[in-house]
Amino acid sequence: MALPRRNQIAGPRASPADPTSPARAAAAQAAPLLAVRGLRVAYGAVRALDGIDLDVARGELLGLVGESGSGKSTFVRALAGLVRAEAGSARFDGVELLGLARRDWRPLRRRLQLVFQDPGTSLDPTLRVGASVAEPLEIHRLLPRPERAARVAALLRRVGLDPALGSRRPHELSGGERQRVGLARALALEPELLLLDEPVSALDVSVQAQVLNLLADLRAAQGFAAVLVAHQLGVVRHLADRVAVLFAGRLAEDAPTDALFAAPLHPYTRALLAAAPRARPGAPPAAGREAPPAPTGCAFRLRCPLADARCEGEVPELLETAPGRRVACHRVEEGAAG
Amino acid sequence: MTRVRSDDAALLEVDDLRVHVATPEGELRAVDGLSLRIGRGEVLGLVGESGCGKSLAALALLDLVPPPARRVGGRIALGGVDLAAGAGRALRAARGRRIALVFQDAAASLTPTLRVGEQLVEAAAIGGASVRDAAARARALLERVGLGGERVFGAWPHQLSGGQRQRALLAMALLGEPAVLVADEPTTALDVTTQASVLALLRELQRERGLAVLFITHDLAVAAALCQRIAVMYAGRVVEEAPTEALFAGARHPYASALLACSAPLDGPRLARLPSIPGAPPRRFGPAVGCAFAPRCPDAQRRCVAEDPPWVALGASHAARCVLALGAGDAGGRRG
Repeated sequence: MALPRRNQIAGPRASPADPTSPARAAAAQAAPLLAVRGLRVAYGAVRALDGIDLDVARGELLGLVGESGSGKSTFVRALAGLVRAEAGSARFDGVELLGLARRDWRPLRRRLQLVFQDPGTSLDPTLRVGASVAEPLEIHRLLPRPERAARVAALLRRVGLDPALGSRRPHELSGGERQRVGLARALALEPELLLLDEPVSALDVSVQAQVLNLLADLRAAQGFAAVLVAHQLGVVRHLADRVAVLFAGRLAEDAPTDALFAAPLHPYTRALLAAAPRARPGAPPAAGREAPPAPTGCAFRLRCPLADARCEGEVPELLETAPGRRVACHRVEEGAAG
Repeated sequence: MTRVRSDDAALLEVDDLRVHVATPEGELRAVDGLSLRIGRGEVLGLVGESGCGKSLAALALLDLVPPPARRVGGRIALGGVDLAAGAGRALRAARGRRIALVFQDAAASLTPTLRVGEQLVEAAAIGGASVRDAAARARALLERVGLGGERVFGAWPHQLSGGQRQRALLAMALLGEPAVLVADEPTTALDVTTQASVLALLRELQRERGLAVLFITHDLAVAAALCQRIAVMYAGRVVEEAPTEALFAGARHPYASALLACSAPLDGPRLARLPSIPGAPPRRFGPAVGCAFAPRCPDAQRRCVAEDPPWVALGASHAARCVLALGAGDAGGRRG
C-alpha cells in the first residue's frame, strides 16, 4: 500500500501567504484541523500503528474504537508527543507535530490538550485542584495574577463544580468531580483540539452520563474539535460525528456515526457491534471466533467469516466506498459482504 | 449449624447479610442487610455501581472478606443448612467444593509461577483424587472450556490472553463440581468480542451442569444477556429485584429505572442528552434511617428520609424497596 509522503500533504495552509488574506482564511476553513498520514508507531518489535491516515475537521468529534491492542490509545499518545512515531506525518493546522522539539510544543499546548482516563493519577496529588486548573494559565502567562482566581472559579463553574471545591486536593474528590477538574484544566486555555483517552471509562455509569452531557455542552459552547478514544461503543455513538474503527494498528473502517452503526461494512465492525451487549433482555451478544491478528494479509482474516485466499495473501487497502466512508476489506470491495 | 425456615425452591439463601468496614470516619455499613434467593440452575444478577457492596457480599459468601472489612451478621444457607453460623467454618469447608468463585482479575487469581495445567491438576487433587485422575479431570475441563491441547496445558498464565485466562479460571472453579458459582465481574476486563464468547461459555456450562450462579456486575446490559433475575443494589441493600424481562419492562425503584436509562444506547435514536443521576452514591456510617437514595431521588418525599422504605411486593418475584412502589390505594399517603 502506497503511503503519501510528508511533502505530498502540505496543504494550502502551509503557504507563507499573508495570514489575513481572505484566500488563506477560506483555505483554513476547508482544510482539516488535524491531518494524519501514514502514522506508524512501534513498541520494540510490536507494531502498534501501521500506517494510519485520518483527518479531523475543525469542530468535529472523531471517535476511535477497537479492542485492546488495536492502537487507539497509541494514536492519541503519538499526537500528543508522548510516544515516538516511527514514520508518518501529523499536521495540526499546518504544523507538523511528529518529532517536534519540546520547546516548540509550548505554543501548541495551548491549542491541543490531552485528557486521560483517570484524573486521579493525571492531577498532581499535592496541589489543590484550583491550583491545578490555574497552572496552565500561569505557564502560558495568560492572565495577570489577580484575574486568575476569578478565571479558575469561572472554569470550575463551567464544568458544573462549586468553585469552593478548588481548595480541595484530588483525593478528596469523587471520580466524577476529578474528571470535571481534568476537563476544566484542559479547557483553561481554550484549545482547538481535545484528545480524550477513555475519559469516562473509570466512572460509574450514572456519573458517566453526567460527564458525557457536560462534554456535549462544552463542545457546543466552545466549538473545539476532539478525538475520543473509548472502548464503550455507546459512548462513542452518543458523542461522535464520525467513527474510525481500528484493528491491529490499521484502520478497518471509518464513517459518519449514524452510517457506521446503522450499516457497518467491515466484518470486524460487524463483529464488534454484534458482540456488544444491549440493555434489553433477549438480545444476547454474539460471540465470534477468537484468534490473534494474522501476521500476513488481512490481520482480521483468522476471525473473519468471509475470509478467502486473497485475504491471506494481500493486505486490503483503505478504499472510499461513499463520500466520507472508507473500508479496508477485499470482500466488501468485491461486494461479498452484503 | 442451625436449621431455620427455608424456601424449598431456593438452593442458596442469604438473609440480612451485613459486612462492615472499619474506617477512620467510622463503621462503614458496606453490606447493610442483603437478602437473596437463588434456585438450582438459576442465574441471578447482582447489579450495582462501585461501592454499593456487591463485591464484599460475594466475598462474604465464601468467608473471604478481607480486613478491615468483616462479616457482622446474616444467614447464608445452602440447601437449607446455615453455613454462616460457627465463625464461618462451614463456609470455608464449602468454599471451592459447593460454592466456587470467579473474579474479574484472572491474572491475579492464577499463580504466576505454575503452569496452567499444573495449577488445575493441583486443584483437582485437593479433593483427594489420585494424580492420574486429577490430571485427566483437569484436561477434560480445559478441553470443555475451549482450552484443549498441550499448548495451553503447558503454558504459563502470562502467556494466555485475557479471555483464555478467564476460561482457565472457570475450569478451575468447576473442578470441585460446585452447586453454586459466584462470578464477580468475570468479563469486565475483557474486550467486548472476548466478553461475548466468555458469556456464551458461562451460559453453556451453567445449563449443562444445572449451576446456580450469582453473577455480579456493574453493567445492566451484561446482566440482561445472562441472568433470569436481576437484583439491583444500592448502598449495601437490594432496592429492586425482578425477573429480567420485568425489570427492563418496568423498573419501579427510581434508582433502578434511572440506572436503566442513563447508559448511551447502541441503537434507536441518538439522544441529545443522557438521563443522568445527580450526585454520587453515598457511604453510610453508623445507624442511619431513611432511604439511602433519597438525596439523589427526583421523587423523594418527607417520609423517605424519616423512615426506612418498605420492601413492596409487585408481582411474581418482583419487589422494590420504595414508598413509590406502594399501590394506588396508598396514593393518599404520598405527601410532599
